[in-house]
Amino acid sequence: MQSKYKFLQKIDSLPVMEGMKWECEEVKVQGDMVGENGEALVEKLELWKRDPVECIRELIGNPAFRDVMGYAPERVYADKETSTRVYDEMWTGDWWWNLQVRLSSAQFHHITLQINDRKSFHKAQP
Amino acid sequence: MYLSIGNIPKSVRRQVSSHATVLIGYIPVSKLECFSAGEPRRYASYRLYHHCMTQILKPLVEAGTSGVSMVCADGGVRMVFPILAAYVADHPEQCLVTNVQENHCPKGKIRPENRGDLQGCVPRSVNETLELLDSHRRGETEEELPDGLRPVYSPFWQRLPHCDIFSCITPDFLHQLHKGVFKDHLVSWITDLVGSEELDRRFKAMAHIPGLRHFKKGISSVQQWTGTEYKQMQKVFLTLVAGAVDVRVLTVIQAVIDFIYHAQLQVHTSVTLEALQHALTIFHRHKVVLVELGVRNHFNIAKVHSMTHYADSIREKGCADGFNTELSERLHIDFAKQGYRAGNRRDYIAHMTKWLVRQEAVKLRIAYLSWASPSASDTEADDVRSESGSESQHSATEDPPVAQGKKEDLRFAPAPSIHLYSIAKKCPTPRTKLDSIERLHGALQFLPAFIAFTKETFPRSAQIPTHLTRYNTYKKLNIRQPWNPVLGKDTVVHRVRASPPSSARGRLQEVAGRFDPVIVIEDVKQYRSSPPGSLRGTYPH
Repeated sequence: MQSKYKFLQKIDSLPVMEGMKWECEEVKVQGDMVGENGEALVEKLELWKRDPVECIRELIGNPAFRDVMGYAPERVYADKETSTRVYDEMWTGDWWWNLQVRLSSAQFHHITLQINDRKSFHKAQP
Repeated sequence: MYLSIGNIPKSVRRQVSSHATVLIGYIPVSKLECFSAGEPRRYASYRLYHHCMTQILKPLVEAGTSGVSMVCADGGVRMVFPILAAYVADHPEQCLVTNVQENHCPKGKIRPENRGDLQGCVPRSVNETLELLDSHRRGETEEELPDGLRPVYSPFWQRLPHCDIFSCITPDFLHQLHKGVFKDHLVSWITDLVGSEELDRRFKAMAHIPGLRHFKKGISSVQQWTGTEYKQMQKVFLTLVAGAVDVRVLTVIQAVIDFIYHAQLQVHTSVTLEALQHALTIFHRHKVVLVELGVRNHFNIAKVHSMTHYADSIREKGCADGFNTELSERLHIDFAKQGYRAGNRRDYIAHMTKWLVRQEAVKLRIAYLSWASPSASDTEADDVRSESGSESQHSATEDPPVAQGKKEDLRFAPAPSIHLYSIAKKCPTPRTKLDSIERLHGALQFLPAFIAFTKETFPRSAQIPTHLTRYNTYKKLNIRQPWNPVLGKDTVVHRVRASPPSSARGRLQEVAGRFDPVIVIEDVKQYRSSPPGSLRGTYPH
């Protein structure tokens, strides 16, 4: 590698997961305060985001998770008499089972999402 | 904003290195000075958040309704319907998401002044909430919305298919239980009762026992409180304050700590969930003693109230360890901080996303190469990261790497075969004389006991120990407790120390001896049939 520039060029030429591209959307916020010209004050903000469906596609298709991925809800019991129910993963919970049954016909495979937020990023200096 | 899927097991999801949780967007933050200060600005910030979330999650509306065909990790093709199931966040953000004022419960309609009660929190309904918001927007109802709602009329979840946002709010035991109910509330109530000097004194007076942290300077001097510190305190707190407070207060403390322990179980059964609920009931039944003693006059605390929703949430969505708010903090270090520092600090989001794309491209390449030629060196993708070390402040339990090979359903797997005990590979004090054992270890009855043991265990042996026999002595014995899947993948190890005192030699200081007490269950049947706490069937007794 001759230079950092060439190195980065090489990296940028590597194949990427198409669906997980970033896009920037403009968000215009119009306030209730009026500016000097008599018009409402407007602020333009940037919303950077990716397609969640494509992100899910990458996650559910990742071969590293091949042996551990769950695809359908289960009711798990600790004993043969099914007197003690066991709960651990999300697919062992009642919500997924009930939803799948409600919307069901045999072909369905739900996946479920969860979202974590780190809202205070901009408040704390990185 | 990070995203993961419930199809990936929670132990994998919460590991930063497994890349099971991905960054999907940045919510812009602004001072919103184009709005007048006070309510207009506040409501504008809520609406901005919901607008951005609507935009980010827009593709889920169609996908959740009609389904999307996807190739799955096992090679099979399935029709996938992504449904929002959980939103992991702390209390202020839970209120932002559900459109509820912070003195109310985000999951139910209980009045703020009743949050100290065990019952009475009726779950909120999406349809009803949307109707209330709609009629308020059209001016058909009074000034203030009922049930503590905020006037944000287009919450991001209104179009998401099959989304009950209120059930998506999951337990957050780090902030709610460890930091909140335990440290900020219970410990401070006890401190009011006992006095902080007395409490510190008791912490300092604790014996040194392996596995229990000794707070040398008491707790008021601890600078940084993380999950580890809270847990270490919980282990000793109850016994520590015994004698300093009314016995009814001890009941309250025990109930809270019982609840906290149960809430963290990684596998629950209908039995453990009953125990969880029972602990909560005991707390509520006896908390009145704190009112009588003048420490509290009410319990309308958000985090105390949050405990009432734990059992139901676990039944609906699985164990609470699947919804870890610490994870975003660790991911934040990786994604946001390192990405930010890699750029020139200007236009930083654009730089961060580019950095992220490059990181992912390289990781993808590495994964492809290790798949294509497994013999090539498997450089861990972590090498690609920049120099800034990750200051992980996560809790003490380290998770083992992702299971490869056959699918491990740990619930039903037999306990991994492990030796029951272990000692040092190389003996530190070989050929110890009997005299040392009697003098330094204080084992005056050692020889007769050992002779009796030899005769009983090896009756045909010709060799009987004498006072000239020498022994290999060890300073530490590790005993492994049988593996319990409910506690996660760690095995609990008990450390027993038996190190004799050593006198000062040259520059080395004198060291006191450390001998840990051990109680051996000699008669298992008798011990098990006795009431708990009894020492029948044990030695020494």
